[in-house]
Amino acid sequence: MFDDYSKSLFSDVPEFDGLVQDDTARALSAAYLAITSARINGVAEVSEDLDYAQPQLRRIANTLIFHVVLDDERDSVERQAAAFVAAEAIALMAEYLTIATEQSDTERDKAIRAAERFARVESSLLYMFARYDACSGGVIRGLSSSETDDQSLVDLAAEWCFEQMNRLGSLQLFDLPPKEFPYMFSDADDLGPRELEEDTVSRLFVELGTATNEFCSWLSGSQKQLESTISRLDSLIDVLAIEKPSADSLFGYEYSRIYHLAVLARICFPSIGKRSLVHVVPTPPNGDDEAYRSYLLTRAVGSKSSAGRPVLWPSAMEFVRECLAGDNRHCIASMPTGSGKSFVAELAVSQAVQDGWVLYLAPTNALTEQIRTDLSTGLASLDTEIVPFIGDHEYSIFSTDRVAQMNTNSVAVMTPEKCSLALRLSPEVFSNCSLVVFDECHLIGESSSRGPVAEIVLTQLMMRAEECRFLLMSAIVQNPDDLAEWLNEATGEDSTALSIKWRPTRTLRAVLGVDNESVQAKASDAIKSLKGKNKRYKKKKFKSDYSMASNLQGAWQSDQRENYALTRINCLASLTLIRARNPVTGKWKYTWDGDSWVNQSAIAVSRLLAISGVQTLVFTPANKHYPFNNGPKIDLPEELLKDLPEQQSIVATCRFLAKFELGDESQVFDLLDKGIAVHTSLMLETEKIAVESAFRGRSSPIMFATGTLAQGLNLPAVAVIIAGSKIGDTRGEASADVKRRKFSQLLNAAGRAGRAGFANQGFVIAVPDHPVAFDQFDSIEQARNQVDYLQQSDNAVPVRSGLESFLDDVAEQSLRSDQASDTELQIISVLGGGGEEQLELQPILNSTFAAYLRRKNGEANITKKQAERVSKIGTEFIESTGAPAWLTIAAQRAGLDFFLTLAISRSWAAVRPNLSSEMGNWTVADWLNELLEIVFRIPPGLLGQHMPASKLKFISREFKAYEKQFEFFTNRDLDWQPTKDWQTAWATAKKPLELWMNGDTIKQIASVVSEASLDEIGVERTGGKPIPKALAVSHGAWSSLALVAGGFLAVAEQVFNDEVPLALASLPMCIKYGCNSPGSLAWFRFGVRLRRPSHHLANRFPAPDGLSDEQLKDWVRKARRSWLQSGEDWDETSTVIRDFITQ
Amino acid sequence: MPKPPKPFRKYGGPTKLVSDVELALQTLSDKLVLRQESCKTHTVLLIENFGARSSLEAAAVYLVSAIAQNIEANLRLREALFDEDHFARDLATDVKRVVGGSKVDDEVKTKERDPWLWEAISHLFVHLSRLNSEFHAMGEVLAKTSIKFDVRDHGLDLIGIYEGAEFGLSAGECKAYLTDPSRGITDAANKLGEVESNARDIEIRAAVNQLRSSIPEAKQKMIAGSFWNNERSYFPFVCCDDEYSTKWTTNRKLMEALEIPVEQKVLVPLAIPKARKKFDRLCALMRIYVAKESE
Repeated sequence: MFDDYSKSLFSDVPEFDGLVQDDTARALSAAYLAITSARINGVAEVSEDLDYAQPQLRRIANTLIFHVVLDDERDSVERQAAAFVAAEAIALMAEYLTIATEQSDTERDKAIRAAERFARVESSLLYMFARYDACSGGVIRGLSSSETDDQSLVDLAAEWCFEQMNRLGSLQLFDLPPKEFPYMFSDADDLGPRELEEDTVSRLFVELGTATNEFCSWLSGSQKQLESTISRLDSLIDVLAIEKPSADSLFGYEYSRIYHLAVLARICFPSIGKRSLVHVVPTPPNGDDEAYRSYLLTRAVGSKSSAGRPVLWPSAMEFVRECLAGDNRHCIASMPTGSGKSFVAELAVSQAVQDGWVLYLAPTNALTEQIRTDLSTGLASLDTEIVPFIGDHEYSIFSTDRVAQMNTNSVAVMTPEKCSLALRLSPEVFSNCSLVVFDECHLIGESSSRGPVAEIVLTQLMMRAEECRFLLMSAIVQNPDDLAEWLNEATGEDSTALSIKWRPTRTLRAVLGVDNESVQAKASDAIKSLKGKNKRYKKKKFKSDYSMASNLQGAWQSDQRENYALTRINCLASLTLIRARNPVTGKWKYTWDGDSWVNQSAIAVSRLLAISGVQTLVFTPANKHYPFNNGPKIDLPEELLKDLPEQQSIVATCRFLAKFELGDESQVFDLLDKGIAVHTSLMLETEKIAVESAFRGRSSPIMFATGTLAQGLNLPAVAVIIAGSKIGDTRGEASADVKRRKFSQLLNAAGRAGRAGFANQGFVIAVPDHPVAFDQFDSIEQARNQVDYLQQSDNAVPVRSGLESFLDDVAEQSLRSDQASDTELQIISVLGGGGEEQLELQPILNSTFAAYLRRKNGEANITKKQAERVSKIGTEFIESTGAPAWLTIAAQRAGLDFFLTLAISRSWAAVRPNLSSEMGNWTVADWLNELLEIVFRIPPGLLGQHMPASKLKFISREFKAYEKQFEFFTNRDLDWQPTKDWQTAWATAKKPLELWMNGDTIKQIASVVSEASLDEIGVERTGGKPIPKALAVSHGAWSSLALVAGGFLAVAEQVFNDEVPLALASLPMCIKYGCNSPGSLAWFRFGVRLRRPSHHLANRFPAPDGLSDEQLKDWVRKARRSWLQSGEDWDETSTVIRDFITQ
Repeated sequence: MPKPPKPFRKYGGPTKLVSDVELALQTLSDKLVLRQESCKTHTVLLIENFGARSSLEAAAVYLVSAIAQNIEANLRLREALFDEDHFARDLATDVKRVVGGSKVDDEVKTKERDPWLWEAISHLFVHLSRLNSEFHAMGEVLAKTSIKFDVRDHGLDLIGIYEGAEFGLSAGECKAYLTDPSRGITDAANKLGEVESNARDIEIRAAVNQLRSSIPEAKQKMIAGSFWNNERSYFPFVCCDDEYSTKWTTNRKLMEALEIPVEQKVLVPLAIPKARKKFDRLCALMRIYVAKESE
């Protein structure tokens, strides 16, 4: 259950009373397993395990608290480590007591509930002392109110005190100042002995609560001195701890409880204080001190909609110490998922925007959008402008789409590809960039073109922005020191590698199998049944109990039996008995196997978990259609559905808009109504927003998702089921790359188990590809081999450079334009083309990470001569092919390789040998026709880099015919002539493309691509059905075509001497986003980023003709504002669009 | 006929409370006769002569002292922490507010007065171990929790730390079901059984942490960890009317279930003839004692 960091805490704890590190970790894991099992299977099933776990938990907590935590002569490392372990033990006790409360009678219940509440507060303080603030929130969240009708003054005061403790524990300070204790105390003279005791105890509780409040105020910056709070606690402790015992001391009863909590608070507060956001983060040297301080105060307190961050997590603390308050200019932050990476970035950004602008790079548009939202909320009080640049590297010449004139106190958020484009188009803008944040920076190690592009972008930024700081972040970089050293060498500035393994949640790793005893018994029945049947019958289905093997230490590395536990799961696995006759002996041999084992198991177990109140994320990494296959097969009980939280209003808004886009009901929402969320790439934006909201809001207790979700959005759950060990689409990948990608994807998925602030522990259940009957240790080993990824302690991998082999070729001068790979051609194009503002090649190449790694390996720098060779490739290419001189510039701008750009140029010349002045008046539709004429003339080997058969096959049966014609897609001959079939295939693309761009429904597109009538198009979303096909075409194929259209635009830009008609300039984005005019595109970009709704608004508020891109932006924004302010909607659709925009 | 001697002849009265308490404890130590019996499941500590006049007087002094000390401690705490001044208190009034006057409602007696009296007497027995180790044979009591007024508190009635061969923890639960001692044993044993579970562990940890502060530092470090896992004693204190007395050495399953040696499961019963009247008398003696000065 424990990661490397938390395991290291166990080893920091000194040994007492035979309390050994491994035993302790094992005991805590076993207790968690027993408690989880009690939740799933019922207490009766695991009462023995629970009884066994309890004394162990008590022993751990008591030993560590008395011997270490309370011993102020010990060093803080030991004390904090012990506090963590003790907090874990007590938090598990609290969970156990919660279960016990559900079982007990009323009288006993009261005592147990009181113990449980006390345990939660105690554990919360220990967690905070141990720097696990998020876990404090997780344990204190279960603190229920003890309100009853007959509460005494002591009860009320204790309740009020615990409320304050709760506020601190959950670090929810936004409702400051807190309510004072609402009841009056009396003078001693007015009280009898009993009332005096009651009044005194109540005052003591209020005193402790007040000290807690004062501390919260100090954390939120509204109280200057911490000393007065500490002194208040000291006084409280002093009066209750009487060094010289006398008969009239007050011992026991509530006095002890108050004393104990006060002692823990006294230890805890100064420790937390060292990590206080308001008091620790320095104001930036060139900023407005007052404004920045105001930001820190706002951020510490938070609001109802945005969690406050009064205390820095260890990751952020380290960053502040090393970078903001230290001398390091650059930082590589390697920290696990969920450990506060985003807040580290926000702090860095908050400082950097004081005297410049910030570039924030993220690998996907979905993350770009999430970062935009998070930063907009987090930096609201600084009035920082967050400018997202959505899109990949499809070429755009719109001034509104260019990174130009970034102001101080602004942040541009984009993908590396988009930034690459920006660096090609407006390199000068980056000179005053003050900070580059690169989230998921391990992208530079990808061997596809994405890695090299990202690396070149970073290198260029280092050279363009000399004063810029760099913050590279990743959850999986194993060698941050290498990256830090690279930054140091490339910029000459100090860099630090923060390798922080701390994470706020623990994950128990389990493997699903079947219970051997049950299998043997049930299989025996099945054999009997089969024996009585005709020999034609070879199979017999039967059911057996599931079983789960868990590792009690952490990763599945141990080969010691005591580190594993088997737990029966209270639901049945579907299995099949198979018999085969031995041809020699004639005897039947019986074996058994799973019946659709992986998916059936994911369905059965996730259902059981949901019913048990465990929020579960099911990853089906092998196939993007599985979520839609599995989701509808789950039938949650009505009573459970009734008790789920209501869906948020955005879900209803998205439901309407999804139907509007699809032209029919969305199956996604049918499933949401049944409590099931699905998340795949083949979904509408509105559908994704709705399922994310439903899962976060717990109105859907189960989510089925594909592996891509694991790498993107933050949707943590208590349990994660990884259904199968295979990942999807490994075609053409080397086995080492597949394994690396598999480990990365599946371990990332596993990392989603546990929700900081909600569930401190989570568990991952890996479903192996083949069922294992758990019995002896051998069977566990058998399972271990199937789920090899669980053996990794974390998902860190050494990050290399995707440019390494390219640089080797450069050094060996073996690069040739006609023999280079697609990726190399793209790199050459990005590096080697361009105009006068381009940087010199040699310094760029020698500043790359690849060059650093080469030097580290004893290899020489790239010489000027070698670099010139790369530059010459473009020239040679032009000379050898007779291409126009500007072609390399066009290729570089479009981000395409020379050959493809030349093919586009030549094809266009073949289509239109003479340009006409009429073309200035062409519409987007005219330019689309022109593009379609060009595209089928491009040699398929060149086109296939972006539009492979796998993307084209859903457009029509004509394209599908090319699915297996691998030879066809190898042809890169520029003189290639299209075949008739290929031309016919491309002719079929026009109709669905027009429907897409004209704003018709997905159902209409599905009707065309499936050659079915509208009535025949169902709502189903499983593989091969019309709707997912249409989505694959619209979101996949047309997105790729937009890149080619970008190439066409770049060529046209050169041909037209930069005088490009607006309709042509709009073409790439119109294709990608489904718009048919500059006006509708402007509504999409500046009105509402949904396809059909933007058409709806464009039809109602058509933009005047003749406006430039800039003018269209202003016009649309004005028209939108005016409409939103007027409150006048013309139909239901417009009302819902308004809701969407305003939400 | 000669008049019976006035009570508290040898006591100085409330102004001499400190020395009176010492005298009362010595008197009780001398007067009370202890007898130990055992059965398979537990040990019984029988206390005789509690009903004797001198014992009751001494007990009354101790109980008055307990009230006075509790008040004094609370006032001192309030003064130190909340800077509160107060007038001199009238102990007679305070005693009356705890045990009532001559006319107390039976329900109050059952639910509040008698449970408090019995809890305080149980503490007295443990306190007497300072003079007679038989009251707590497993070791010297280094510190114990105070007598509380709130008899409805859900905590254990007594927690003490003792030093015998090892450091140990005593847990006591007091039940004054005058007409049903068996239920008293059952309820007390049930609650003490919770010491073996998480439900009481947290309470004990807090009490031990506070009690430690009153023990010399050298010993404090030894009183750590789950020392009570290895060494602990249970004291069910059960009081009843003699008319309803039961055989205390009958084997009891709940006592058996407490996982410590028989000699450390000490049932302390007190069967008092006409118990309610005796408690009335005890209260009357308390009132008489605090009024003594004005005579």
